[in-house]
Amino acid sequence: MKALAWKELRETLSIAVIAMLGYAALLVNLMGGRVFYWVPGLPKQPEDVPFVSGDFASVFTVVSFLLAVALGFRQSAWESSRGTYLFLLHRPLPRQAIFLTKLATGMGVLLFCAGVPIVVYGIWAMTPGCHAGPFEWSMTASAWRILLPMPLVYLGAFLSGLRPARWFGTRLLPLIASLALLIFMSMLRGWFLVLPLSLGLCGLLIVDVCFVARARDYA
Amino acid sequence: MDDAIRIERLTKYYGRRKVVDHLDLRIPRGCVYGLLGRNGAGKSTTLKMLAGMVRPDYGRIQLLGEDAETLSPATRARIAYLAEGHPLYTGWTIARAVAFTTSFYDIADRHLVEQILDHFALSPKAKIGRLSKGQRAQVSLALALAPDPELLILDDPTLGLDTNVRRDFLESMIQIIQRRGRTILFSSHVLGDVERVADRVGVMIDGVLRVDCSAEHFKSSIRKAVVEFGREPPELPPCPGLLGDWCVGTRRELVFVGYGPRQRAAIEALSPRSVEIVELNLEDAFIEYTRGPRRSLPIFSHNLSELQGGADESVGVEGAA
Repeated sequence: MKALAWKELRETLSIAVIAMLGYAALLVNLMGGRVFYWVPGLPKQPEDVPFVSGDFASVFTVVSFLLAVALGFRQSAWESSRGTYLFLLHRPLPRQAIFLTKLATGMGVLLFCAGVPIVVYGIWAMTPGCHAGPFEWSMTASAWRILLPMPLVYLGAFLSGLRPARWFGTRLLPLIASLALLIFMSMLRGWFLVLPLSLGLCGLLIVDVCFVARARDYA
Repeated sequence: MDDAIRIERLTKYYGRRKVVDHLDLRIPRGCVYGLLGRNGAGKSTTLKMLAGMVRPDYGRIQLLGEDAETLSPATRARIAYLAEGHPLYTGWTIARAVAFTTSFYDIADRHLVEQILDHFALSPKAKIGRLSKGQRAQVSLALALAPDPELLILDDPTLGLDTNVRRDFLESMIQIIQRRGRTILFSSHVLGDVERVADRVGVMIDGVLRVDCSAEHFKSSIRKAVVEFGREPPELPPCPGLLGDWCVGTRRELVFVGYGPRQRAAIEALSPRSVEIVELNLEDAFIEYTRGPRRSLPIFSHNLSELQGGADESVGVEGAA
């Protein structure tokens, strides 16, 4: 199991590094560094109030979304396209354990990569002399709220990569559905709804991944 | 006898097409079984169902005495599967592939793997993506043998390999066979290879297992009669066991399953100028058997104990006119 987790970590490393570079560019610009000012879409100057006013949320959402989609497809569709499932799934482990390890690793990478910039930006904001304005950790809540439903997008992408349907048919349905849920949850107010809804839907998608992994043919 | 593989009424549909049709097969422990068939005959699908990669629509598979549907990890560890085309992670080095594979097994003989790699002159530092097809096949074989499996399922393992590599590969297979109790089920299009290593052969045609017997029995069951007339060949009346009937100039080529006195009498009734009965090697027998219009004549050895000492085999001829 450990070997499988390491394999997944190594395979997703390049995607994680690219995403981290995206987050880093965002943070560098927000922290006043004029290194990535030429990158279109990135904020050109620091926010007035970190996490609350400015462009952090919009760029963070886009980068996290792309990261979740790339991770999901890398871990499922890539194996299908290379035929390596035939090698991997013959290992003496229950199929469910193989896929749950994949999902746990992928979700871990997603939450780590997306969580680090929130923490780093928060530490920067609370460090005296860095930003002219008050900062409370509770101000990061909006960023965590964006991150919370991202595993849904990851699972939707994973399921889309795993399902044996046609790309121009119903294959992308899980990803589209998770995107719709993401939009829906961004309109909800309060943690008390977003948290249980995210957890519940993630649970459902994980069950579905396990079902598809068991039921599909690896021909 | 204890069976390594037992298949009952195995059926698989892809869409509306039945690719494997009520397959019944028993392979005793220690047997080397060659599964033959033309492209699309259902060999790979059958092997994938055995390896658990494809779910059967109907039927039952038992591997090493356990139901394949609920195969425990411990039993799976005793089974090796080599998929067609040898899919491996191309970004890995051989050493990493060995480390990854052996980490899943309690008993993994890394020394044996190193020996095999050494035998094939493969450096553990080599990247799999940069290896040739033949070298990948060798790596796959080394990885498959790492846990010292009791049952090997090999899907066209010599596909795309040159003659030398194929011979090397087969010699390695023979070495495995010589270890007591190892069972191998493999599919191949290279009939010469099958003839060299297989105790028994099965021939699948359109998803149906038509032949299940020893290679020797299969060869001896198929006979080709080249009948020269010196004139326009007359039509052969309905004859039992007739598989194929081709007119080539003034001669008629007839292929029979189970050539005997009745067939001889039917030919002689046509007053031919000469009759030559041709014995076929496995490849020719396979070609004649699978190309004929009447491919529904089955050949089965009902007595599996022949592996232990050559008992009787019977030729079943169904649907003969």
